[in-house]
Amino acid sequence: MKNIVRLTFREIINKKILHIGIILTLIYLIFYGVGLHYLVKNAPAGGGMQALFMQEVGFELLTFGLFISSFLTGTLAIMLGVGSISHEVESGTVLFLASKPIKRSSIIMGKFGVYAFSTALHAGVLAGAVMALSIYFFRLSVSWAGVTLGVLIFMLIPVCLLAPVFLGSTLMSSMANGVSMFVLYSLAIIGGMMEQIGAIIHKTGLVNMGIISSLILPVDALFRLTVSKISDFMEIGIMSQLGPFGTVSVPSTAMLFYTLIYIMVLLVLTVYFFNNKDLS
Amino acid sequence: MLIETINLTKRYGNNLACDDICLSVAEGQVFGLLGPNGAGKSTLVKMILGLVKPSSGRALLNGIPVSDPRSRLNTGYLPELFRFYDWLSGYELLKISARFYDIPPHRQQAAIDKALETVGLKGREKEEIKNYSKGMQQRLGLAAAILHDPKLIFLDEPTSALDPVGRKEVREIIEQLKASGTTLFINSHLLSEMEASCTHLAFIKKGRLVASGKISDFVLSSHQLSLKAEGVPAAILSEWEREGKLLGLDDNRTFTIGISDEEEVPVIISRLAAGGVRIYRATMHGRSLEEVFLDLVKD
Repeated sequence: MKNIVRLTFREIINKKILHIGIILTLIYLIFYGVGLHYLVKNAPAGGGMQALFMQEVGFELLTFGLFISSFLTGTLAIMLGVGSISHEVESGTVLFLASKPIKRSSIIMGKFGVYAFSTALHAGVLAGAVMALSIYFFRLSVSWAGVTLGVLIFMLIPVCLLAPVFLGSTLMSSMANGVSMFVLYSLAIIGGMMEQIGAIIHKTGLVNMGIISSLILPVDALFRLTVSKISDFMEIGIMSQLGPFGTVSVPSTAMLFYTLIYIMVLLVLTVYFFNNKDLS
Repeated sequence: MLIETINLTKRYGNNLACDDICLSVAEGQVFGLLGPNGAGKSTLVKMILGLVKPSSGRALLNGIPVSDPRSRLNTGYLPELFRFYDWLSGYELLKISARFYDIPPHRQQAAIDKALETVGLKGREKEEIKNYSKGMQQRLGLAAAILHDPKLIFLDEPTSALDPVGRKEVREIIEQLKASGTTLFINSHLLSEMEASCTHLAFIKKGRLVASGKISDFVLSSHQLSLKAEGVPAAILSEWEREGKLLGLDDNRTFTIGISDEEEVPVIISRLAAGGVRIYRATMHGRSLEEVFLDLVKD
């Protein structure tokens, strides 16, 4: 597996999509930081109004920033992983790997490990930067334990996306897998928003839709859990949670365990299908 | 046996790619697998290497079931269309190969140098593979296949991307490997090359193995003896006719006789000479591999 890991690192570093992802992430962080700078500069001066603005708007923008970050990191994970196996099969390079004295499961696990590590690192740095910018400009009073936990959960988002991406990459062509994953990802995001709206207007049906979409792909639940962990120790009003990026319906912590089991089950399926795949 | 297949079958839906194939390859053989396009040659090789799962039957590689990756430890493989990450350099590819085959780090450089030298890529190894010509990529694939000094090497159309000079060089590499006792399993359409290199042959047609054996069983078993002689006794002529050996007779002086073994030649000549026949010329002809191939695979 060590050799697969080494080769995959070399491969991923060479991917143009990663370079583009990193450049876009930097541009996004610059825009976000500059935006926050001007917002704070034009904040109402003095008194309780300013404190309210700093805390409520600050939190609102933090969740907005994290939402865009989750989208960025999720898209990068899909784009990177979509051809992880299928491209090797389509181009014939898989014959080089699979004819070596190594288990096919090592190919999957080695590749997944590197992709998961790289995208989780990207997510962690991105979420950490967004939080740092928000905390710095808006002087948000946060619990570092909450922030750390939030970042760690946020780092699971791309990993959770990579699991079905790898399964799809074993079963489908890169193109079909990419399309399917973006549809699935959109479904998860829309489902998550429906759940929040349902919770605000007390519509159980909408909430259930969100729960079902989270069971299919728990990325939105992970995002809501991130927000909830960060806000746990913050003094923010309910109004801030009512926005599209807030968390009125908080996913249970069991969702974290579900996500870990979800990733493991999909990985086992990926190994199973890859083991039985004809590489010709 | 280094390779053994027992009733190996691969079915894609209703299509039989390989049907009940039983063959064995012993150490030191240069085994050529021949067959028309789509006959199932590459599928058979891929099943033996564990790349394609058999529908039924089983295969052993180096005495180990092919489902076990350890069966490939002493094996090299050059796929028909060699492809690799083109952002790697030739050197990096060989370095990765060396690691996969657990060549100790202190021996890796020597093994890479030797392989590069053998395939004629020394000096070009630092270039990225994307800048290599097809022929160079084929040589690099060959270098990766021989790098770890395996006991058995599979070469799937090893000269397909090469020009005549490159083909000659690959033929020479094959001869070197053959001389060093390496067992080779070659898929190729180039019959003259197979005839020159192989010790054993198998013919596959529509997924079925139609014949296999030593190369002499095929190209020497159908010898013809051409005789220019005068005064052949009628008794001998009718005996040849009766046994189906007389294949041609021109102007009562030129005979074509079918023989199964070249040992028959001195026996025939002695008998004719003893009978007072004047022999002007005796020439032996073997059938070309192409003729044998066409006979075996034609519908």
